[in-house]
Amino acid sequence: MLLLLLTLTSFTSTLTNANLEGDALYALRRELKDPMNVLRSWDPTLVDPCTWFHVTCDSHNRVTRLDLGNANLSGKLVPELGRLERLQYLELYRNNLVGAIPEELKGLKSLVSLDLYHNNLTGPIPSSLSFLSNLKFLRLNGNRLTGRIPRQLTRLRNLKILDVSNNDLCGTIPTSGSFYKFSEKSFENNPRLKGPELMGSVSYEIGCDVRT
Amino acid sequence: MLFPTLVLLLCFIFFPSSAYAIKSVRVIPDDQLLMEAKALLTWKASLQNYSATALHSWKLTSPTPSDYHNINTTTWASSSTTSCKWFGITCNKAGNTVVEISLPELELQGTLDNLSFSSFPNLLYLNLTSNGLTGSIPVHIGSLSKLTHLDLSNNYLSNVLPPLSNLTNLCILYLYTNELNGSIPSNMGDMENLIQLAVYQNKFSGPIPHSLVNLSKLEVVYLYDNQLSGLISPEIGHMKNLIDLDLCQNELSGPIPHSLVNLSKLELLNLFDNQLSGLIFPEIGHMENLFELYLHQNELSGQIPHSLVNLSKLEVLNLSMNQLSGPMPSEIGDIESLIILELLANKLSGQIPHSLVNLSKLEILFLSMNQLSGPVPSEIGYIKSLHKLGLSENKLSGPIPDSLVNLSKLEWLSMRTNQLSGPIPKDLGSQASIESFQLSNNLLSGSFPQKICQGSLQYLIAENNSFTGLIPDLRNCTSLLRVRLEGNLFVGNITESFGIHPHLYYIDISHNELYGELSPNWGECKNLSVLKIVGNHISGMIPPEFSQLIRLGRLDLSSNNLVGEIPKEFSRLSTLFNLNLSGNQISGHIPVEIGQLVNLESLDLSTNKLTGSIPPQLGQCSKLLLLNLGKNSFNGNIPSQIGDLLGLQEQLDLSHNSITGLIPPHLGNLKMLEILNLSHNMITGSIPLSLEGMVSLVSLDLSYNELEGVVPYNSVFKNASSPQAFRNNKGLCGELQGLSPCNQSSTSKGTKKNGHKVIITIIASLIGIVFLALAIIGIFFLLQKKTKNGNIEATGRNHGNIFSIWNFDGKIAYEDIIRATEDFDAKYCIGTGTFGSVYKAVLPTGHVVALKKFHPLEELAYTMTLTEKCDVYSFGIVTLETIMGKHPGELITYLTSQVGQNMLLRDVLDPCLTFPSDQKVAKEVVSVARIALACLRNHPQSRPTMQQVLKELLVLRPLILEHFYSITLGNLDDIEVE
Repeated sequence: MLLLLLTLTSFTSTLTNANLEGDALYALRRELKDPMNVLRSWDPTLVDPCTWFHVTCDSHNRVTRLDLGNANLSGKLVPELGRLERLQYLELYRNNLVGAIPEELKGLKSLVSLDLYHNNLTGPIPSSLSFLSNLKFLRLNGNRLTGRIPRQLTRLRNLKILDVSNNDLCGTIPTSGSFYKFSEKSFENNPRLKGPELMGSVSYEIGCDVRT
Repeated sequence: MLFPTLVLLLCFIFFPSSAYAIKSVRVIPDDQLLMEAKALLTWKASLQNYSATALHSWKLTSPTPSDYHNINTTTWASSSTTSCKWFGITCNKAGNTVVEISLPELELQGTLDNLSFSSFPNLLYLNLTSNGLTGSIPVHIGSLSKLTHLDLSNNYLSNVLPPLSNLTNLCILYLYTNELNGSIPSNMGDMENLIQLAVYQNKFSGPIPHSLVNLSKLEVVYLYDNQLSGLISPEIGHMKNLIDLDLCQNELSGPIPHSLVNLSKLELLNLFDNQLSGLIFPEIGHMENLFELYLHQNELSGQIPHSLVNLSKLEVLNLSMNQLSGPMPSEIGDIESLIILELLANKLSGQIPHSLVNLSKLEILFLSMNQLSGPVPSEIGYIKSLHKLGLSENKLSGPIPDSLVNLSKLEWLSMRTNQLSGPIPKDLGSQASIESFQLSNNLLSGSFPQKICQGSLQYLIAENNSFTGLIPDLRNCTSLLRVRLEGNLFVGNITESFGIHPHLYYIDISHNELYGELSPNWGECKNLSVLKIVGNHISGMIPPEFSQLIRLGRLDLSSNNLVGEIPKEFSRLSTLFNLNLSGNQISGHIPVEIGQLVNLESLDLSTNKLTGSIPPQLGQCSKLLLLNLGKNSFNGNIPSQIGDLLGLQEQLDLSHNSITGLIPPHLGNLKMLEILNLSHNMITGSIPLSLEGMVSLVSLDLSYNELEGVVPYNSVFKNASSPQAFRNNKGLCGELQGLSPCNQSSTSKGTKKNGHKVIITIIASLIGIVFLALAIIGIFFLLQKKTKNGNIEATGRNHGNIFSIWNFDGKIAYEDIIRATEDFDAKYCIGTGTFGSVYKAVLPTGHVVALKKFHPLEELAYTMTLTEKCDVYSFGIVTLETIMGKHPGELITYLTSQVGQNMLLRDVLDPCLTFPSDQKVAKEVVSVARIALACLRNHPQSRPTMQQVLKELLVLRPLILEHFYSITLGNLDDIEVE
């Protein structure tokens, strides 16, 4: 019995490994409930994930798009997603995702669009998203995100669309950097959000306590 | 230790008792067994009813009434014998105490909380493996001090492990496959008789207790699949009797301790999937009893020690997924016992050693994902036992050796992504055993073995080579699962190469030279989820049978010669998410049933001969990210339902059709859309203001339509549109670059406010010059147009008259103009630009000229000094505007940049006019452009004077017409200021 179990474990073949991006996506698949079977084609034994459905690769077989909006997925995002260095479009909107936005998404150096809107995500907006220097579209609206809007996000020079409306964010709205162009619409329906930051007169640090 | 047993025995003999008697007696042997029986029954009662059925025999014979009166030895003896005969219970020889409880695999459900361990002082053996026990292991298990064998494995026991150090007689401890957590108790080293320790597959964390190294009798240590961290004790070498050491799948770090070499009896060393680093110590070669060595998935570095080849009993060697570098040991063939050799995903370099040929028992050889170079040694073909050979992702070159054909047991051959070249051996892959054949991304050429499928082939992966000749005959290959042959030069008729493949789920034969028609048989490949036949010469129609492919997710038949219509039965392909039929000659309408493809994410039907209108039902395909219907012959309106496709993100392209009607305002809902192309249609009306809602737009093209009115001026349009985005429409205007301002009302209002007289006064002194130059340019173009129309006219040649005006007093000319335009009355206004309005004036000489009246200039606004250079700049603007047919807009700002300098003259010229067809006109255009550019230089000092401009106009520099098309603006900016 012991020996049998041992044999099974030890012989776990290394045949299919060293497919880092596929492994990262497969980690996501394992974490998600997928009642509509949209991830059925995600076969981890393939050399790369480029032929998996809803995954797009570039000519070097690196993942550039993940299109899983409206897919009835539930579960958590996994930190392994941050390994997809060439990912440009992370489209996971309108699902039932829960838990936090992993800090590790800062590894998505090529990301152009991060669409996580209309899920059930909680926790803060990671300030590390400010490392995504190519980010143009950041739509996190319609979740249950809490905490301040990280001021570091104003460093995202290419940001064209920002939508963090309909969350539970607090504090003030940064107005510097790329944020100057976003109207209040981008921030509406965050009952604890105090409105635009008044540079110099109101400290950024106050206004996130429930009692104040 | 003997004492209690002795007491029990004595008690049993001399103090026969009954249940009633127990209370009054201190310690008697009868008590013991009864106590144990009661303890067992108490526990049984705590288990879930249905799970205790196996314990049916566990009951005390109820004492008869006579027993109460006639308490004697016989009665108790019978009851005690009963409990000793209970299922799973074993008593000692005397039958007066329980020594063994063995209840494996009985689906017992419940906890151990109600099992009174202290009631079993004589228990030697406790086995509850493979039940459904939950909860903790109770602390009082420590009272089983005589226990030698404890097996609670394969249950759902959780929480931390209580101290077991009292169990000093324990030889066997199996707690594996539970949910125990916390650390392994540090005093486990007190269990000095322990021989086998198996606690794998739990959630133990923290370090491996150092005290374990004191357990010198230990032969088997299985701690794998936990979350143990920290180092492997450097003193592990003390455990001299160890035979199996399995610590794999933990989070152990640090080096592999050298002292392991002292474990001379060790047969299994399994450390895979940890974070061990450093070198593999060379002394490992002394562990001569090793049968299996697993060190893969760590961070080991350095070279593979040569001493490994001394491990003469080694059957399995797996060093994959480390950072090992350098060559493979050349004498690796000395380990003749090897059955499995896996070194994949390291950084091994050099050649594959020829000595491999000696590994006559080798079944699996994986060297993939290294940097191995040189040829594939032909000796590999003589390892007859080989089942699996993986050499993918190396730098191997040269041909595939013929000898591989001899590998009659080969199931798995993978040589993907190397630099292998030449033809492949004729009969390679014809082994009946072959299941997976992977040669993709090499430089292989020649024809492909036709007998590749002998009944077992599942994976045929050979894309991106240069294979020529016939595509392999797979007609009868029913075992196929996955086929990738794209990117070769295969020829052949696909109908003769494929048949019915019931298991096939993926096939890509794109980019070959295949012809023939699509067989209805494809409809029988029921498992197909991807079918790609892009870029071949497939002709005929798409068989309606395709609609039987109920698992199809991706269908790409683009760039072929398909004709006929899109079968309306396609609506049944409910799982289809990507449909690409572009670049064919498909005709007819898009079936309205397309709306049923609710999972469609990408629909590309572009470059076909589709007609009719765009079905509004497309609006039901709510998951669409990309919709390309461009380059067809669609007519009718854009259905407003397209605006329901809220997920459209990548592209909406309806360009190059004959679409009429208005742009539906509903399109403004497409807030995620990045590319919108409606160009080259016959779309009329104005641009709906609602399009401002398309906030994600990165690229917009509305050119070549019949649009008119104001282009909304906001960030969406500013960011998304190039100057070309609006060209060739009926009358679009607005503030954006490349558009003429929408004026009459607004601009003339402005002019009136400012008071045109002020402006006129400012420029009065030089208006004549401007007028003159304009006239010249106007005539150049007039000349060109007229010539084209075949109407030779004479007035244009009358330069003299026009030039004579130059000698006129500016004021006289100005008065003429004022008179001719009735003081710049709106009725003479023929257009408005950013810098001013253009008026038509018939001069007393009979000449018809166009005049531009300026708004104030920027420079003027800043300096409030009017200079001659300032006027020259205005002249430059007007000149450029005249030859461009529109206001130069932002072109001016980047004229001096690299972009502007590299811009071709021909791309700037008014697209409504034909390009100059004769040398003279070309020269004139070039001359005018040179002057315009000189006048527009950044620094007023570097601009020419009007006098110099005139001089330049008169000198036509030599030009070869062919060159005209390659002249850049940079080439033209060469006038030197005098």
